[in-house]
Amino acid sequence: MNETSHGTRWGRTAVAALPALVCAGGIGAAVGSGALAAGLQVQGGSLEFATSSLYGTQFGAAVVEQATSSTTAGGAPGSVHVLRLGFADGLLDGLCLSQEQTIGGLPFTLTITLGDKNPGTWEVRTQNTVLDLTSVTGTLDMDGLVDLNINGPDVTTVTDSTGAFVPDPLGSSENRFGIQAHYAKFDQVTGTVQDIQIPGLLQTPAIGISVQPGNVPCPTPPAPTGTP
Amino acid sequence: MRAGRPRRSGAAAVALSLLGVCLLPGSSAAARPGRHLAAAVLPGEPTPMGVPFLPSSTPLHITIAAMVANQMTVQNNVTIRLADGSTVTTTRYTFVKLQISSNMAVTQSVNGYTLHINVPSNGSLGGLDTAGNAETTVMWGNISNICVTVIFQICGVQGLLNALGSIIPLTAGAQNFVGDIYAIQTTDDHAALSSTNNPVHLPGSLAVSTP
Repeated sequence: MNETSHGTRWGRTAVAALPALVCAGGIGAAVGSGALAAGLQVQGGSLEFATSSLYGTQFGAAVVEQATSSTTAGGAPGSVHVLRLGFADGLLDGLCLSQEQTIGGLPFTLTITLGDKNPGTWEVRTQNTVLDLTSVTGTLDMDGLVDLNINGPDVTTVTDSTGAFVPDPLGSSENRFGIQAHYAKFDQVTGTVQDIQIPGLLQTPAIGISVQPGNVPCPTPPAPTGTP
Repeated sequence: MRAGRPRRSGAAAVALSLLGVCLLPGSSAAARPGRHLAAAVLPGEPTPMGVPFLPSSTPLHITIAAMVANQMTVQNNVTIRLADGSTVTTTRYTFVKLQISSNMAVTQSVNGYTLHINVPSNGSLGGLDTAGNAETTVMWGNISNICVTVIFQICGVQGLLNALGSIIPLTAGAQNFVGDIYAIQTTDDHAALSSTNNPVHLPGSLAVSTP
């Protein structure tokens, strides 16, 4: 590979990544001036996900059918089933999201990180977090009253602007699997998500967005230390 | 599964949108007490019966290679209502301090998806609360097999009831649990933020597959 091809590749990459980089600049400015409260939405297909721990109250989960950009063999809109997790109030102990992309036939990885890299701080605070999982490994602890196989639409978790529980907050259909618990802690989570949405409060001491050549997965998250 | 596949749509396909960026006073999730969380019954849905919530009408198929519990009690002929409005007469099992010793697999295949929950080693469906009390785990459904070795191996819920009486001790362990369970509820009356005594402890994997 010669120098010219490197230059051409990164020019295309920079253009393609412009929306993310603009957002990074905006977030960075806010972080630099103190606590950040923002909404975050990352979607667009399968994302690799890693966190040392996700801890939250008013936890709910339900199987949801989510539309994709693909089509079936018959031409109908494609869809994929996910386990949608909702936390009304949440703490994240670091977060890494990455997605491999191909531009001009060359692979690169877009990576978004939140947090301070300290596994004992649970430093990222969120409200009304929604996470769509397709396959993850980790340790899920649930506490309080824990219901398994609850009808998906009956799960209560996230709240509206008045603080009231939103009916069918996860958008599940009748007769789908659901979970509900007062508290949940999901440690050393790695896997694949379809999207992540934090429409409410988001506070983090640091955020990073990078574009790197090749396939650069999120590092394996360390085990959390202490309690949230 | 689409994990790890390169996408050709470019970085712009990842839509990172800031819905609002503003500076707000700090607000700690851990500082706010959790409100009581109860399952909703939406307009048009039937009223729960026999179970505190409406379970999905497709039971979870659960296998556990080895488990330990302080005890199990059995209540037959319990009628419960499912999310599709139908009722089914089944069995209610109550476990005290139910621990998974080896390999729990939970699957549910329905409506175009298969859910997989796997705990390959130790786990828990009910531990100790912060006051040191054993927690209870209630299952509604049908346990088609469970084996306990008391000098010789006894299998099946009815066999255990015949041999051990109405309160079945499982402190020495049980094996080969197989059940189709409509609903599970575990209760920790002393749950609290920052508590690490969690009744449900599932180290393993979660996956949803679409054919």
